[in-house]
Amino acid sequence: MLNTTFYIYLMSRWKSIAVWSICMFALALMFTSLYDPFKGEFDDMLDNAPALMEAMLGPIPTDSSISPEVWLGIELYGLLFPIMISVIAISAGASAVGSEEESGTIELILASPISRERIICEKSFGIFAQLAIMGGVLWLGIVVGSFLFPFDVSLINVLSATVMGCIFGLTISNLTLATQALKGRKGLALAIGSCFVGISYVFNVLSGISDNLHSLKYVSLFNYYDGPGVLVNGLNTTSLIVMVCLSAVCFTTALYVFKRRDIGV
Amino acid sequence: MTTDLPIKIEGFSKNYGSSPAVENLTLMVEKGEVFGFLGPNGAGKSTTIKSILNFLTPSDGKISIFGLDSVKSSVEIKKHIGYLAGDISLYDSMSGLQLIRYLTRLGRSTNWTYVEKLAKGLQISLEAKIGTLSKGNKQKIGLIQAFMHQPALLILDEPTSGLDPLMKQIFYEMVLEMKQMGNSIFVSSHDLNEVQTICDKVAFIKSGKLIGIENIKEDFDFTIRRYTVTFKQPIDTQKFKGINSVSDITQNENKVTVTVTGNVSEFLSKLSNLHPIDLSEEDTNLEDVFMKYYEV
Repeated sequence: MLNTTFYIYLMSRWKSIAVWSICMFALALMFTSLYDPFKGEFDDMLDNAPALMEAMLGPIPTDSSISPEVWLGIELYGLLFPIMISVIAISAGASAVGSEEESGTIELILASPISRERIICEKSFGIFAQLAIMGGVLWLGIVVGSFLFPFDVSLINVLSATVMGCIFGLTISNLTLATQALKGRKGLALAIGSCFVGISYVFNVLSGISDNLHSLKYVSLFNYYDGPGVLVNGLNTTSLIVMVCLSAVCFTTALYVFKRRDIGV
Repeated sequence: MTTDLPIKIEGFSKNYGSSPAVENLTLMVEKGEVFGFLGPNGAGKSTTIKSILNFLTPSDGKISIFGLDSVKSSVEIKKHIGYLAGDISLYDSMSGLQLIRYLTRLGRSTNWTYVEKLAKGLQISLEAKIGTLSKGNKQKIGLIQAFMHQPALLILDEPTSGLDPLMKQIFYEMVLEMKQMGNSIFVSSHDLNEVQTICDKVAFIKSGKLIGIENIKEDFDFTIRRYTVTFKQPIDTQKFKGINSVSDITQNENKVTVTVTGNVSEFLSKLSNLHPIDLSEEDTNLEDVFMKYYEV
């Protein structure tokens, strides 16, 4: 693996990976530590305004207080984690090949006996490794937090939600990578990736507000990610398969268009 | 490799949208040949080079490298090619050594002894971060990465850009060594002296069309010079008109400017009879030489 495009990609981003990983670990520790002090306040809110809480959090068992899984779903896996993963994925997908095209170093690689398919494969694999490292650090932070603080959480469910988050990120990064591979423009890829995430989020919110808009959830990637749901109910295999298939389609598109496009015009 | 012919371009055209960048280009580079590829900016040189390397797909025609199709067998072909881009970009965060290791990992069969020899000859440290190097030193790293696997075909775009005269001389020796090994070099350059020093054959391209190919070691005379002669007083320029080698005569009071093609002896002989007080030679632009030669 040393000195491959995959390795060079990861090495070129080690500072970013390190900073994001530290943030993930710190967030995990922070939210596991805050659960116990704030649990009582959430329980009060649940008693006083059950409809509001259900609207915010979705169905809550009547006999339950805020569990660690629900807590993580509200505070971390509901929005913060997928947004962080989206930002990383969009940036990585647009710049994995895009930065090399902009700087001209892509010509060094293309002048070597390496196929364009291998370049895309190694870059995509590199992005996934980057996302997996960050997801892994987040999960590790929660594991450490569960030992340090009163936070009895299902680590399997947390791991499942983290995996869903990483696949969610991979889908976005492959979409962005495919856009960059198609047009060769990093800025356009960043814009398309950001729009996709934004629209996807809006569709997911709208689908929960009105029955008429309920079907919008099927075109929202956030619906398939559903980190809070996975934390409570465990891995949703159907959603996982949908995201893996979407990611595979984007990846195949990136392979196809990058092989045929003129580079260095 | 299915043949010994390093480059065979047949009817190659490349369009960007509806505008043609290169039209119906046909040329061949023989084994062990140093082939100059010349032309003004925007003539189609880089487009042709990038199509040879399969960065760009030909709109029409065919490019074969050692008998292999440049598009279908691109990966196999690149095992035998070394490439230096005109405006080379390297990884600033890597050292020269890290870059060479990386490119080796990508499939180039690096001759490490030769790399050390090149680095020594070009007087460049491979330990320093590329980002800290001057333009000339980056160009040296670029040359080393192109030569490092002693490829059967070298494609060099403005190879001496940023190099001082001493380093240029070392580069010429590197080219000669490769040629003696039977390797071929396809080089794009604007430097007339460089072309005359290293090239066996030269093709000139303008506005995407091949103007001509000449064997400069044998039958092509690059000696087109432009002189400005100063006299004490205005003279009758008709006195130069009988000389076959003289053309483009212009006069500005007591100064006369002429173009001399080929042998200058007849011109100088006639000039000495006119008692000039000063004679100066203008820099000759390579494109001007070709324009004059082909009268295009």
